[in-house]
Amino acid sequence: MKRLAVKNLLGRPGRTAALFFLVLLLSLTLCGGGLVLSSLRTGLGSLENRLGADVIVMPAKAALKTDLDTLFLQGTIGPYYMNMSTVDKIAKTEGISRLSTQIFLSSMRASCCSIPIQVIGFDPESDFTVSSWLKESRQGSLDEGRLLVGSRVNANPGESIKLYNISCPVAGQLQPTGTGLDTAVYCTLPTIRTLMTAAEDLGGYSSISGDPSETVSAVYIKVKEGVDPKDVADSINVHVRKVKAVQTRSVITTVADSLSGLERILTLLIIAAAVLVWLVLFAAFTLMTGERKKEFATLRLCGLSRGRLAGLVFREAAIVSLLGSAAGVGLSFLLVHAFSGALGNALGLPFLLPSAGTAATLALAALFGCLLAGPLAAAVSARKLSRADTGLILREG
Amino acid sequence: MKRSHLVLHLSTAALALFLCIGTATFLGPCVHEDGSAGPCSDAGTASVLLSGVLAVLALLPLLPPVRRSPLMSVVPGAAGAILSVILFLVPGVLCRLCMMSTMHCLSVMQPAVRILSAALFVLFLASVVSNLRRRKAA
Repeated sequence: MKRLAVKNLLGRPGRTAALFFLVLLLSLTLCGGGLVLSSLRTGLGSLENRLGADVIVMPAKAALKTDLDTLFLQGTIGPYYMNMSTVDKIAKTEGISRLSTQIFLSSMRASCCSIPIQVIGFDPESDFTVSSWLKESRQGSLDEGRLLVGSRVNANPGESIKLYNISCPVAGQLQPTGTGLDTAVYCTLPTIRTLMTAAEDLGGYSSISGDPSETVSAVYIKVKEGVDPKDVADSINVHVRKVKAVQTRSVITTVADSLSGLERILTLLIIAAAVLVWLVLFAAFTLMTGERKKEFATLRLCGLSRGRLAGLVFREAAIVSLLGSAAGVGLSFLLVHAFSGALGNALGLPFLLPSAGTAATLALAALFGCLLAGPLAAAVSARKLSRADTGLILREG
Repeated sequence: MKRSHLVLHLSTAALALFLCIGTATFLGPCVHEDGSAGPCSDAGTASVLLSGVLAVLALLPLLPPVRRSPLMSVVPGAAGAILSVILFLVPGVLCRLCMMSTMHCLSVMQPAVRILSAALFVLFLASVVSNLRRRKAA
């Protein structure tokens, strides 16, 4: 009796394959959709952690808000520079706890450079945004001339990247953040100034005016405890000329707004797809039971009780559901993991795969949901079957 | 030939053909804005050629002279399984890809080739097993 369910399934491979495919589709939708949503939420959390600063100041000609969004989401930013004397003026603003400067330089898609890439120069002594990330990534010290690469730059420690005809050894690779910062490379201020001079010599960087050693692209500010970042940003905008200060919270708000819209649409689509698949599954079980009426009537004549007959249908559904949902969960993990880069690119939002714990919870939830769906769809048919008159079915021919 | 064997060979050939057409078109390597090919173009060409060969190998056991001999029909399956492993290694190991993982070759071509070549390996292996069984039965 225990083997009958398996034998029934193997005896009709076409029917079993169709049911297996339906359950697989259901678990793929639930688990895959959940993974994508969870990755987007993890990406947003990572963006919040990575921003670190409360206020960012850039030259006035930079369309600050748009450019910051582009930097954090796509990893590119325009070549904007301001003089070091401006930084001294910014530092005099009240309410500032920590201040650090960064320089941005974009490499070209040309023979001078291995890849078109955003180079970010930072001061390790004053930095409070990149350094914490370096500690998490457990990278060693960053000597002059060496680079740290983001997780999406396909270069291993020990290899070199050519930037403006200067070969820069890779010191290490950073942990993924799911943001555009993963596609950038990081170096100290002396290294980026050497690269800027090389860029100027090659005529590839007309935006640098003046001495590269006296220029910076952005000032990152951490405000004192209890001080509103908005007040500091407003004060800088009023008192320091030719710069724009913006709260980093506004970048997060933009991303969070886009994410919540997408989240709503994705959740609706997942629910609609899951309901549709479940309805098809329910219809398939109902039709299948109707088709097998005679088979079940014969089994009843052989002495199988109504309860055991219902149990047989239930067991068949449970086996198909278990196999289908396990395959669907596995496939969704494989696809989302393999195509995470393409998904992140297509969505244009921070995309970072969730932790193992979250992923396991999602997988278990999808598995449980699908394990319930099959037998639940079969339960109605099993109940109807147990009430049917065996003699009448056989007489009907 | 059993219907299940026919389905197995045809589905293997269809998958290999899909990979061949895919890597030649929408799954293919990066093309720069100026129209020049990226460093991943060799990986793309090798993938197209290898998947084309795999499609032919999958169809070979359907030819009457090969089909009649159970031993002969094992050979294309075994060769296909070995070539699938080589195809798996083409993007990123045997042939160089671009340096940024957001680029098409790393974000689309490599995972697609790897997933489909792994599936092809399983199908070719199934074909070998089924032909060996056929040989044993004969």
